[in-house]
Amino acid sequence: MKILSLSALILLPLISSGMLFFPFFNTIRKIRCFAQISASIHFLYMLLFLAMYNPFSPESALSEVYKWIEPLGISFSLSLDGISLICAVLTSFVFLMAIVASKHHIKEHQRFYYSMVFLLQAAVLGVFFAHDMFLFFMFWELELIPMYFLISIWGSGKKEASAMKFLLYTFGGSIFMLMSILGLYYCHYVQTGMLTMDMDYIGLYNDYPEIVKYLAFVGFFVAFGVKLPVVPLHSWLPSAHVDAPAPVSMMLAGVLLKLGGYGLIRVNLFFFPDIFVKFAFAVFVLGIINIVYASCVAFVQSDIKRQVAYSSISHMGIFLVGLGALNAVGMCGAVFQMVSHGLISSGLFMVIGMIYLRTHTRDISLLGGLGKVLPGIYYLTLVVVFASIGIPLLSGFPGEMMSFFGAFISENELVRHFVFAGMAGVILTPVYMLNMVRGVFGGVLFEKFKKIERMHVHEAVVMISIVFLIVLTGVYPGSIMKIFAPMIENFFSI
Amino acid sequence: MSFFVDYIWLVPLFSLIAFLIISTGNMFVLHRNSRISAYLTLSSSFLGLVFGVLAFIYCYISENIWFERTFSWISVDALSFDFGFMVDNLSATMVVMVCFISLLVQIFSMGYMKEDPEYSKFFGYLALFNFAMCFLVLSPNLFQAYIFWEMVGLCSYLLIGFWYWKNSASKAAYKAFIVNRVGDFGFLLGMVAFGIFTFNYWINSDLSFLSFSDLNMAVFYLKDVFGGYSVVIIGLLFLLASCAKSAQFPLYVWLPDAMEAPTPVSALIHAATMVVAGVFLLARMYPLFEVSSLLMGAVVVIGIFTALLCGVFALFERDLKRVLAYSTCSQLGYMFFAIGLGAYSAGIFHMFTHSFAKALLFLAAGCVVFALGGRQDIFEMGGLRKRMPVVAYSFLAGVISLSGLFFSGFYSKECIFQAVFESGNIWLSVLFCAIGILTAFYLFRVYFLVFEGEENRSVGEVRSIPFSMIFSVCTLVVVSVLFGFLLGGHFGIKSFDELIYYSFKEGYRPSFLLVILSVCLSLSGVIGAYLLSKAGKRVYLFENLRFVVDWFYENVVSRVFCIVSKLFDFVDRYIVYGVVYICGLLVNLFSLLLRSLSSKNIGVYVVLSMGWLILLFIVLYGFKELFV
Repeated sequence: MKILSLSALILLPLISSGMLFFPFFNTIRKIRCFAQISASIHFLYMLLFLAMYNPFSPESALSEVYKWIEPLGISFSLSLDGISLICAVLTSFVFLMAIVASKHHIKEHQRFYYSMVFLLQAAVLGVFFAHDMFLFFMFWELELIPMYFLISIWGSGKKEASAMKFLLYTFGGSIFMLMSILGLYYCHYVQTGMLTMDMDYIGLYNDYPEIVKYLAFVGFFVAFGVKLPVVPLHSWLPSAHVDAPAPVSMMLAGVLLKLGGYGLIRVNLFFFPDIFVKFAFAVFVLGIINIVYASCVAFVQSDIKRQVAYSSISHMGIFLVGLGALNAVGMCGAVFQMVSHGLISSGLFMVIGMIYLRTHTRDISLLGGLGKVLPGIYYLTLVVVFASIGIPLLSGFPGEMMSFFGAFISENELVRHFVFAGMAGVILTPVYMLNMVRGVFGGVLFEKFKKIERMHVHEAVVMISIVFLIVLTGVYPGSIMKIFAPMIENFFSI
Repeated sequence: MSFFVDYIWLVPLFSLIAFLIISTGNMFVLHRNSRISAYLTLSSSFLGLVFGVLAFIYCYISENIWFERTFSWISVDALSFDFGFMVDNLSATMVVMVCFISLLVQIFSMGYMKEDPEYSKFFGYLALFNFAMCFLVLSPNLFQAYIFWEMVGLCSYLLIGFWYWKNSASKAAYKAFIVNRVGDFGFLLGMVAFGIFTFNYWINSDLSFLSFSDLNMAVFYLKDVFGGYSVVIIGLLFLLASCAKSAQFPLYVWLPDAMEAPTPVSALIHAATMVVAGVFLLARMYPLFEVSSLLMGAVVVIGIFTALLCGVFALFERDLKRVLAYSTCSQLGYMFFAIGLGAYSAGIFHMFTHSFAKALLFLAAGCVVFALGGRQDIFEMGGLRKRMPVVAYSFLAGVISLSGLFFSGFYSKECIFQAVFESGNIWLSVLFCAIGILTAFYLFRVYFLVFEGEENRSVGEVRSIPFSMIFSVCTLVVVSVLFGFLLGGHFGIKSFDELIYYSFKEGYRPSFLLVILSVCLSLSGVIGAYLLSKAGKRVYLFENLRFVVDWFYENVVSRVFCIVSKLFDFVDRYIVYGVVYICGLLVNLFSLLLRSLSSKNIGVYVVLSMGWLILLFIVLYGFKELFV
């Protein structure tokens, strides 16, 4: 009997999302209980996938195909490989953490909130598993709806404007993706007479005209670049993060940004490896700009949440550097960086949420000395911050390291010569990160903060779980490397 | 006996276990601030010391041992980073030294930190530091050295900022971390470049990637294939790393500020162990430096310049701990200088004697600070010898050793002196003599001001010093008196340069004349200091000169960074977002235009839709032509 079903993995949150509207769930307690149990079951089920996945045998690469819109060659087809598996595990984990963390942040419309969170989870998993371009696009767009509500209903500040900005940006990007998909679909049909949206066919087909390849590459790159974000396309991110509630920021930074990275690998790299070679240096330079520019901007922000948002952009630069290296080492670094950033940024947003709940401010000049009253939060934050800085034996380091090594052995000579610029991030990241720690936890404690609440149990659970994974992946990177590394090595050896 | 070499990784592991127990216990409030954490840390260091000593004895007996064990940590494609440990005479000796000073400092801290609210956290950090430092010296390859290089920097950050609620401490920790990070950047870039340039060499060799044991051949390969130019660049990057960690010019600025840390930390990390990691790196990377005379010259220049500069700064300083910090910079300059001259053993020897002497000085200074309730200004002290004779005589022993008059420091200094004279460069010799006088001068100035002379009335009541602190100080006195003598080549015990040498035994037998000369020079410094303190004069001249480099960093480098950041922020807010905003406006404008097209006349719609269809047809047709 097959116990591992990809569609079940997507359906589970969908069902939970619907079940929350049963009249039985009439108290906050019941709703939260159900949401937490459901997310935990999902996570455990996900772990089962992780346990039974064998990267070296093709049989274990799960795939499911159901007929859907046959005349147009669209099928409900899902598949799983190393990269999507690790992303999906991360998704399941971060959503569980975000749901646990939502306790004090979400005060109204709980039922609708958790329902939207589950819908979002289903959509994100759908993107990771989709093996059909139409399905991929559908899930990609589906994820916008819950996210829009999550920011605009439960956010703070100029929440509607920020949610709109997020929606329009992503939507604007996806138009390019849609055009690219349709272009490939059409060309494939014209040249082979076969109407199909299956990634194996329209993706791995090589004889498209050059111009189509270029246009499609750029189209996809814009769509994924908005999500990642790549620097000129990033202005939705800081405002969305600042105005979203903390758990939503966790999901946004921890998982949704990974969609962009995943898309860049899955579509841009795997579909058009020959075009990617030509754009490798551009991708690499964009990565360096991300690192340096976002670090500098983060340093002068007064809002700590904005700082962390910019640090996300900066860390995604390392991903781009690894990707631009175009070899197995750099790619492994990039994927590792993606996973570790998912853990680190959700940890950081969790911390900021905890601080905001207690002090009702995020302005760094109004905070100070909190280490004395919140020692537990202080030490756990230190671990997360050091991981973000890239201290060895924590999860930030292997990704950074492999990305730079990969860039240095890149076949592109220009890439090799500019690696040192990317390494400037090594100096710049602690400049703003530790400045933030110093501003929030160090220094003299203000009188009004003397009697704030200590860390709650559910917060401790979230932080300790995140810190545990950060340390685990940092001390033994092989634990997650062995899931995706064989597949990447395989890709580059061809 | 070889068991202890096989299992030397247990030394850092003991400390790691102690750290984990303390930190988890702290988190779950099991034993907050109880003595258990101190005893755990102590016993872990003690076990480590026992292991280290036994391993050292094994190394001592067997000739020139080189034992290496690794396993693969990350491996992608052909690239494989290994993790493990390596034992040779240098690392075995270092492990013993680190564990020994750690242990004594931990015993000292039991008294010094007794009333601190975060007592057990302190011991947790100390255990973490011991773990990182031991693994750093046991690293078999550059990659692992980098990992623990950063880890010790992290511990240093945590311990400088231990009293994080003090603004000055939190700022000093920040500064130390950033400056060290500049060095880490050099290390990382140097390592990546070195690893990749010699990549083909490592693939063909059966040793692990970037292994120290094969560095010689890799450097030759590098020089053959890429030329001497690449050696110089990579060497300079490593030199940058060493300068940051070992507080050499121009990156020494963090060390004086790091004195915000509790005094035991200053003794352990910022005098005896972590700051010598830079010298240790130079020693490990010696094959690289050796092939280029330009690099060796750079090391010499940086060393001698820092030694002189920080010696002068120490003379102007009035804070007891900061004088010692400047002195540390200056002495580390000595070691750079020795290694740059090719006197490998002498440099390392001086590293050990300095570590013991400086740890002693800091711990004695810690006793003084403790007794006076936290006061550190040397002009507010005086005549303390009568109040605390044991501390005074211990401090004197440390001062004598460090200024090269007698005891351990004498032996190592003579070795370097000999090497300088053999190099034949008259200017270097003169500078070296000047630094010798200077060292004796500023150290004895502190001694005379603090312990001799008239009793200062403002001192008031003196707290009694706990036994654990006295015990540590006295033990260090014994070691720093005897260490140099034991390894100075007497009684048939191997002398230091027979134990640790690079390619040949240097065999320093200083001539009698040089010894007399050097002692006389130091004595002249002592007499100068005595006269100055007798006259009761203070050195005010150029007192603020020592902040010039700090001023440069604070007002030029960080200002420029701020301006650039603000500029980027402006670009981000108004230009990048402005473009998007204008796009939005254009859409609005376009919709205005379209809205104006709507009318009651149905004919307009017919014309519009027909025109649109024709346009679409043309476009699609054109596309088909293009593709088929």
